[in-house]
Amino acid sequence: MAGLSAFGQAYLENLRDLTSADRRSIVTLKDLAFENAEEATNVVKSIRQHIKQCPVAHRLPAVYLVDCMLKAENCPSVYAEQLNKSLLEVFSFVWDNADATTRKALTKACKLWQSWPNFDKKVAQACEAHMVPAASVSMPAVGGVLAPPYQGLPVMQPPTIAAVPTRPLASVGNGSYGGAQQHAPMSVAAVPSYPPAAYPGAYSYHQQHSGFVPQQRPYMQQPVQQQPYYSAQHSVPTRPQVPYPTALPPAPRTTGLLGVQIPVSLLGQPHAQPPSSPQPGPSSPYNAQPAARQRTTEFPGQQLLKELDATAVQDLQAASNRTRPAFLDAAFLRNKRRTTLMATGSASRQWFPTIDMWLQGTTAAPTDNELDIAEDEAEAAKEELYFVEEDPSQPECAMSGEPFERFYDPDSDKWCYKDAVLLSGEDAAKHGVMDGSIVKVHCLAGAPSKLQLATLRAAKATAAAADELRQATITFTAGGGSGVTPTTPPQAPVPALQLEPQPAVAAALIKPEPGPVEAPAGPVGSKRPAPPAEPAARLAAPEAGVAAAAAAGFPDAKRVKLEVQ
Amino acid sequence: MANEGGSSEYTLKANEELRLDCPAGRSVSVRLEDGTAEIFGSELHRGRSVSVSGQKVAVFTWSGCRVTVQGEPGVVYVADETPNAAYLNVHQTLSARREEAAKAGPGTAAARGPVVVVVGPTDSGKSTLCRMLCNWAVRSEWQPTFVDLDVGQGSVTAPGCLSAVPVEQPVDPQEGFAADIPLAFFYGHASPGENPTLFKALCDKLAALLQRRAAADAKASASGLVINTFGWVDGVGYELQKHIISSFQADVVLVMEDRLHFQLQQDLKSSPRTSIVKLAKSGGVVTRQTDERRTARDHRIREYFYGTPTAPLQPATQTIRASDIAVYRIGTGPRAPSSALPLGASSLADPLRLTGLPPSLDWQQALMAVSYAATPEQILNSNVAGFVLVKEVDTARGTVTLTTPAPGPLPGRYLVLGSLRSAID
Repeated sequence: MAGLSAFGQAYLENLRDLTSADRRSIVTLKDLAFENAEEATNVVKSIRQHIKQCPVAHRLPAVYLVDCMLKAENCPSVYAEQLNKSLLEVFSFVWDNADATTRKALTKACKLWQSWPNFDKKVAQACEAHMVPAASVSMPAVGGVLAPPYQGLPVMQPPTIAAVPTRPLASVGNGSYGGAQQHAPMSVAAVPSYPPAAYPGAYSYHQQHSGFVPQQRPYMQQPVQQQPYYSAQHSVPTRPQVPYPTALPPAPRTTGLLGVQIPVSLLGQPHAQPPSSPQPGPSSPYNAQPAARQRTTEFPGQQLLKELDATAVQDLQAASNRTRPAFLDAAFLRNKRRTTLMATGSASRQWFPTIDMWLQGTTAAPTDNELDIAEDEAEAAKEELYFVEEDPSQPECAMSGEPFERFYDPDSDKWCYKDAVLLSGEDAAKHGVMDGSIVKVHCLAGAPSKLQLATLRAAKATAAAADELRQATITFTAGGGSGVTPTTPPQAPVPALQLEPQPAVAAALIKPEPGPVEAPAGPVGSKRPAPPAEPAARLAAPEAGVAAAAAAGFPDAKRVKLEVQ
Repeated sequence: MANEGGSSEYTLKANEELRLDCPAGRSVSVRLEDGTAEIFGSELHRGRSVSVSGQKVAVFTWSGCRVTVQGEPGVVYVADETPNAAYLNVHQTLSARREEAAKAGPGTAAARGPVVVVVGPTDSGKSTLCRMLCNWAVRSEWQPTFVDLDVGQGSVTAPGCLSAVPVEQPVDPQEGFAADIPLAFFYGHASPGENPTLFKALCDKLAALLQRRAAADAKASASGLVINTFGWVDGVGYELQKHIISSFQADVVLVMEDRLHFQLQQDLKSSPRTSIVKLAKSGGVVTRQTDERRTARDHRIREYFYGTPTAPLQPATQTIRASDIAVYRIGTGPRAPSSALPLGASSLADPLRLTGLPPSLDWQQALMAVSYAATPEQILNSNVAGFVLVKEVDTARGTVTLTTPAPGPLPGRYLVLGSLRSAID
């Protein structure tokens, strides 16, 4: 294969020496690869090349190398990715050209893959699927995805074979069985096994393979801790620790194949399940039913962490059902405001608030949010009700000039203007229209409300404080301390809500006055005092009101209750 | 999966997700027909189309659903393997901790909810995980604060900022965090390595403010923080990550990479209260090239001024006198004449030194932050009101043309210049 780097070539040379499934060589090769993660592409390429070129008997050890690399906990992600990409290709190539004995070993290895985190499940499934056609000849698929024992397997242990399709169901699912799935399929796969002498390479590998067991230790210990977790929802109680008394494979083989590291009780696992119990298929809801878990403030272990916790899903869904209506309402109002703003052409990004305003705005009382929403709802309800009896002399809004939308009100038997209000007396004066004018509600919403006046006042106070500070800084030379922090405005925007607007400020807003406190150079030079000046200058266009609130640094429309009188 | 008129329907089983990669410029939207589904933790509502144009999103379902995809995404496929179960388990534990904190007496150390830092290399799905955690928390009646320290991308404000935003609503799949009101400090560069000292200083400042806020609001305190970090995890980057963890007193560190996980476990042995949890990255994470990141940055800046397609904004262009603004640079910058140095300027090596800059053509296309500082000395301690983009500098006439988010005067006189530029118009 073209394009192998020097390292890739060297690695390929080493691979050629891998003639048997010798654990030490495999681990050495694995480590060599992992130490050169940047060469991953070349290493994987060389493995593929090797498998295609080497004698048939040497292929299996190479597959074991891939297996070993992907099972390693410290497998660099680049390898996991690359190997998963090539796995199916390599596996099917080896499988297609393998004899019965090798296939046996491949089946065994392959069945474990799905339960390992580094293996791409889809690839593993594809590999299993690849084995099925050959296998299903003698035995129609029992476990769905899983390949039953392949043709030509000497039927030595009928009970164990029967157990094969049942147990791995656990590993097909979403991993709900706790740590048990890590080792259970392995023991299953190991138990039916081939005649010990049939394939020396595989034999020695598996003998060595038991050396991998220490890596699995953390998982093996878990069933004990997990015991409480998967009891409630499972129809099969206390699976792991019950050794199957009768169908235990002959002892010599057990130790011969697996070494002593694997507790006998684990081998018993598959048999612990009563053969007569109904076995749901892999796609049945059984698999989707994960173990319930207790809530704790400690994070679950690495393995448990990856498994779906039904309680967590239920909790989230239950909580979402509670909170959803409020979010939907808020989103509805937000969109409505946005549409209004966009219609008036004043949708611009607001300046962010100062530190103090941010702190005040975001440390509301805990009930504030609900309160806001309740208010918003009330407001929304109120808005719906605005209509005024038709006045043919006023077909348009006195403020925006938009024509009114007419509708027939059956209650009063009259034609009315939708979303309109009649302004009279003080209100009319405040908005600068003639007494008795009919205006659109949204125009009023844009006009300065009590809250906005309060906000502007707060902004002005901040500005005044800042000016004071600036004076002080000038007088006493460059003073320390953070700039904005000490300038806490005397009136907070939120508490100010209840206050009546101060006449002075209101006046400044109604009657355009030249820049208030400080107006040095041009529009930019005047800093915080400027916001009040700005709306004042543009009050003639009432929709500027919202922009004014924005210019005053008011946090967000969602906190603004635009009062319409 | 029927394909008629550019719309296809997908049926997802429980715990599967539909991954969509929608190139910019193609209009694609997703509609939930049946069941429940979420985009990065934010629920979809049945029958309502959500535009996902120009985004890479995953529609995930805990219980199975049917969704319709309108338009033609570049890539679309169903994935049945996601790390979401693990992510949700993390959320579950965080929720339990929040409950504990809410039970504890206000003002005590135990009343402090989980402070979560998400670390990992670039393109490991950090910000997506943060978004999920925030969304799940807010759906579970908490109000976490999202802290974005990823100065290169910035999902809250324009890039180059350290920012915090309280999350009170699920994050809009289309608009992101942008709809909320942040507290932002301007760092000014796309990489924390440009001025690590400044980065640390701003980190400390933000952390202190958030602590003040937590002290004043029991719910905010119990809800805790979710902190997103940058993807630079070795050398100085790693040191900065550790600084973030200690500065915000993080008690949960979520790590998206094995090596980093190991390293942090070794280095944080001294603080056993900190849980370090390793999480797998999602297979849906797409690796971005450097130029894609730059484009994304530009995109963020554009969004700041112009909004998103669903919520467009109107910026203003104004020409002002150069004397009305004062532009400062933090740290050593090129070609700063000594006459421009403020009084009492400290040594040249001081990375926090403020340098006043005279109007120059260098400003063109620069993204500047408008500081709330009342004096130049306060720039380091002040948050920013927003950003302006310099369009033109006329040194002869002494005027500067700026794109500002809103019409009207700037909320502050002092502007901070970093190294971020954008050619958007």
